[in-house]
Amino acid sequence: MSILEVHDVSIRYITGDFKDIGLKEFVIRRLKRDYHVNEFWADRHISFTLEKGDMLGIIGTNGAGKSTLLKAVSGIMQPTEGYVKRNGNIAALLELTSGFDGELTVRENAYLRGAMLGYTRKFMDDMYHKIIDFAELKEFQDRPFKQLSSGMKSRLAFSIACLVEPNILILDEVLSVGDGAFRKKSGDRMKALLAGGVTGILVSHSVGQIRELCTKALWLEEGRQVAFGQAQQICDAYEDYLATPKAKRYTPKDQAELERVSKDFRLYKKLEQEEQQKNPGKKENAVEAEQRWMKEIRSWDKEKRDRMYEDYAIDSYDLPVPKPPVQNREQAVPPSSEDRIPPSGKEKIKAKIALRVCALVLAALVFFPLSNYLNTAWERGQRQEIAAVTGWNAESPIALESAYGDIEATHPKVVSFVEPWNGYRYWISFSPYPKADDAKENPHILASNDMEHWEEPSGFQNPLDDTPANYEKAVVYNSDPELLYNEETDELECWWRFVDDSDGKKVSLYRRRSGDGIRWAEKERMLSGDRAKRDYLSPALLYEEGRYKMWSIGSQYRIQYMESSDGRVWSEPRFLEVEYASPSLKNWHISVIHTKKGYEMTLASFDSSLPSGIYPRGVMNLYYTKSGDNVTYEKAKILLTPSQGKEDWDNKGLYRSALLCDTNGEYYLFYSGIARDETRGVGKIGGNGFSP
Amino acid sequence: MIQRIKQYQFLFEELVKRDFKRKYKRTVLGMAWSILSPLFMLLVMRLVFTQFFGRDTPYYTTYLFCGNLVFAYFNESTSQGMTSLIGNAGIFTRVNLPKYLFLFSKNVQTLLNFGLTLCVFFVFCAFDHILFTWKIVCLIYPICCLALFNIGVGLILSALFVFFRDIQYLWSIFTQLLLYMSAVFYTIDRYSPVVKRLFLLNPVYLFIRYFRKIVIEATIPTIWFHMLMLADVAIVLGLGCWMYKKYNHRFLYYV
Repeated sequence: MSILEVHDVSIRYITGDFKDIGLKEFVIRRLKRDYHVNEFWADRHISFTLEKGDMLGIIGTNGAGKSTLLKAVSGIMQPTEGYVKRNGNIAALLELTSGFDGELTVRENAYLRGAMLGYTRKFMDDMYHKIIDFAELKEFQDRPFKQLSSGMKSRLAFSIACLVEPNILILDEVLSVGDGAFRKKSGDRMKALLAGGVTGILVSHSVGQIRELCTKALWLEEGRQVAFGQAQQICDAYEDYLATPKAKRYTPKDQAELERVSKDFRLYKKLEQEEQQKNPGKKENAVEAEQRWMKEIRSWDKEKRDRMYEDYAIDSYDLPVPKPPVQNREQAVPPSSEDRIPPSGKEKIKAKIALRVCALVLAALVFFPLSNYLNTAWERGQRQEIAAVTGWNAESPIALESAYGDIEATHPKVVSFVEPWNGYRYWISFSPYPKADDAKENPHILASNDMEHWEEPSGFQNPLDDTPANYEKAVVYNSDPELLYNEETDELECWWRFVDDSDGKKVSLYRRRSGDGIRWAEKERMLSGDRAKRDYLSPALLYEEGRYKMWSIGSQYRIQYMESSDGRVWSEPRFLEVEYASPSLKNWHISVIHTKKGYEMTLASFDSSLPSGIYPRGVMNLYYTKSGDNVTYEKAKILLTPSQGKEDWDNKGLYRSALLCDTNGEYYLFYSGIARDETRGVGKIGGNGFSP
Repeated sequence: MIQRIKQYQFLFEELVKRDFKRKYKRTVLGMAWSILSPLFMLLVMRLVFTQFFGRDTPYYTTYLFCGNLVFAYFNESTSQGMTSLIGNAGIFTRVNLPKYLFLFSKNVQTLLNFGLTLCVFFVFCAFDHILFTWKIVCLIYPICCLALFNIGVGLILSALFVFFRDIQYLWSIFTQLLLYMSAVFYTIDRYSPVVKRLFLLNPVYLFIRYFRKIVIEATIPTIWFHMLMLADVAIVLGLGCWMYKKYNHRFLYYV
C-alpha cells in the first residue's frame, strides 16, 4: 500500500472577490463596472504515488505550484478537485523559519515547534538536548530567538523536524540553508532517515541536491504536471529545459520524449567533458556551450543519435515505470478524499446525530424540572437564612371573630391603656378578609384585657360600617381600618379608607368616634380626592401635640406624611424615603407608633423584581425602620418573614401589621399573615423583652 | 474528541505560555496591569457617576464593579480573540493544526486575568459591606457562560477578521456603544417595562445582571434567566463553530 497517494489534484485560487479586495474597493469597482473575479489554478491535475522509502524531489521554475502542492499534501489546504490520501503522520517543514517567535528564547521556540509538529512533552524533554546539539546552538539556548542569524534559525528548525522519525517528511527549501558543514550534516541525516524507511518530499531549486537525495522527481510547470518518474532522468530534462532560452523552451510531451531529452543531455555532458580534456585552455560560457551542443545533437538523425548513445554508454535508466497519469478525466474517480464518507458511513452518522438530538431532548426534559426544583429550593433556602435571624412567627392566629362568623382578620391596629378604658385595657381595629372577599373588608372593633381573648364590648355590635350600598367587587369597597386614641376628647377614633371607582377613581377616609367604645357617632367623611392623583393607602394615624399626624402610601408607592389640626383640612404631603437592601423593594402598607425611640414604622413591602406568575404582594416580608425627627429614616431592616412550616397559618406572605409599645414598655407585634391555601389571620408575637 | 484534546494538549500549553510571555514581556508591572486597568476605569466611573446614579443605587461601588468586571472581560477577550487567527497566520499556513487553538489560548489568558480581577472584586465587596452568602457559588454559572460566550464571539470575529479587516474598527465602535447599552454605570429602574425587556436582549447585560443579583441582592435569578443566557451562548458558539468548520480550509487564501 502506498504511503502517499495524490490523485488528480487541482487547486484554485480566487482573486479579486469581495473578501479579497475589501468593501471600499468592491463598491468602487462595482460602480465602475469593473468588478470581476479571477480564478487562477495553481495546480492542475497532479497525480503521483509514493511508496515507503521513496524520496520525491519537486522541481519547477518559480510559480510552478510547488509550495501550493505541498500545502495540499500536508493537509493545510484542501484540494479544489481530487484527493490526497496519506497513510502515516506527516512532519511538514514549509518555509522553515516562519512560525517562530522572536521574543521567546531558543528553548521555548524549540518546544513550541515540537508541539506544532505533534510531539509530546515527554518526547521533547528527552530529545531536547539532542536537538540543540545537532543544531549546534547549545550556548544560545536561552537567548531570544530574534538574536540568532538566519542560518542558525534554519538549523534549529531542521534539527527539530529531522530528529524524529515521521512517516512522511516534507521539506520546502530546507537543505539549502546553513553553512557548508551543516549542509553536509543535514544531507547525511536525510539519507539516514531515508534508509530508515521514511518517505520524503523535497522542494529545492538545486538540481544537484535532488539528484543526490531523491529517487523520484515531479516536474511542475505553471501548475501543470510535466513529468513524474525517475529522478535522474527528469533532472536531466529539467536542466536542459533551464539551459534553453525562455522563448524556445518546451517541455517533453510523453515518456519517450522525456527519455530522449534525458539521453541527449547526458550525451552533451560527455561530449563536453571530452572536449574539455582535449582542449583544456578553452574558455567558453557554460550556457552557450550547452546551447551549442544541444543544437548540434538535435540536428542529428535518429540513427546517429542511437549510435552515439551506444558509443558513450548511455542507457535508459532502469526505471520502475510509474503509473501513467489518468487519461480520461471524465471517467476518473469523482473527487473524494479520505475525509469524505462512503454512503453507508453517512447513514451511520445520521443515526449518530439522531441519537445525539434524542439525548439532548432527554437531557432538557430532565434538566428543566430539576433546575426548577433546585431554584425553588434555593429560594426557600434564602428565606430560611433570613428567618434564622428573626424566625419566631406566632404558632396560630388569635381569634378575632368577625360579624360574618370567620376569624380571617387582616390589617390590625391595637391601642392600649394603663387603666382599663371602659372596662378594657386593649382595643383593636381590623377588617375581615376571608378569601380576599372585599365585601367583608369592613372596619371591626374588639376589646380585650390580655391581648389573647377579644370580644365585643357588651352593647356593641360589629361591623362598624356595613358593606357599601353600591358595593362592587374591587370597585366600591371599604378597606384599611386604623384606630387611634384622642387624649383631648378621651375618645377612640376609627378611620378607614373607602374606594369608589364606579365613576372616576375616588378615595375617601371615613371616621367614627366613640367615648365608650359602645356607642359610636355617625360616620364622617374626613378627606376625599382623586386616587389616580393621590391615594391614601393604609393610613397610619396618631393624635398628639394637638394635631393629627397621618402617614399613608401615595402614588408610586411613596410614603406621604400630612398633618391636620381638625382632621379635615390637611397640609400638603411631605414625602419620606425609606431605603431597603434591594432597590426592587417597594412600600405597600405601613403603620407608625411614637415611642421614646422616636417614630417606629413597620412596613409590608413587596419585591418588584419577582418573576411574573408570582403575585408580589402575596408573598411580602415585614420591614422595620425608625426616625427621631420623622424626616430621615434608617435603612429598613427585615422584621419578620413568612414561616417555613408546611402547615403553618402564615407560610406564604405577610401583610399590614402594627407594633404596640405597651404601657410597661414591652413591645408586641400584631401581624397579618397569609397561608399557602389563601386563608388569613392576625398573629401576635412579642413581650419578654422583644424589641423590633 | 478526547483523543484530539490529548493530541494537542502539549501544543495548547505551549501556545498559552507563549501568549503570556509575549504580552507581559518588558513590562515592569506585568500581570498587575490587567488588574489595574479595570480598577482605573472603576475609579473614574465612581468619581464621575456617583453624583448622578450613586445616590439612589445601593452599594454603588459594587454595582459599578460588577458591570466593569464583566464588561472588561468581554471586551478584552473578544478584541484580542479577533486578531488571534491573523496573528498566527505564519503558523497555520505552514503547519496543519486546528485553528481554534490560537483563539482558545488567548481566551485562557483573558480568563486568568478575569480570575485575578474577580479576587480584587471580592475584596472590594467586603469593603462595601456586602454580606457573602453561599450563593456566591452560583457565580460559576455566569462565569462559565461568559467564557463560552466570549469564545463564541471570538470565533466569529476572528473568522470575519480574516475576510474583512474593517471589522476591527467596527468592533471597537460597537463595544463602545455596548458599554453604554449594558447598564454598567446606571440602573434601568426608571425605564418602562418594555424598555426593561429590551435590555434582556443584550447578553452582556444578562451576565452583569446575574452578577449583581447574586452579589448585591443575594437572590438567584429565575430559571428562564438561566435559559436565556444559555440560549445566547449556544447561538453564538454554534455560529462560531460553524464558521470555523466552513472556512477551515479557506482562511489561508486571505491571510
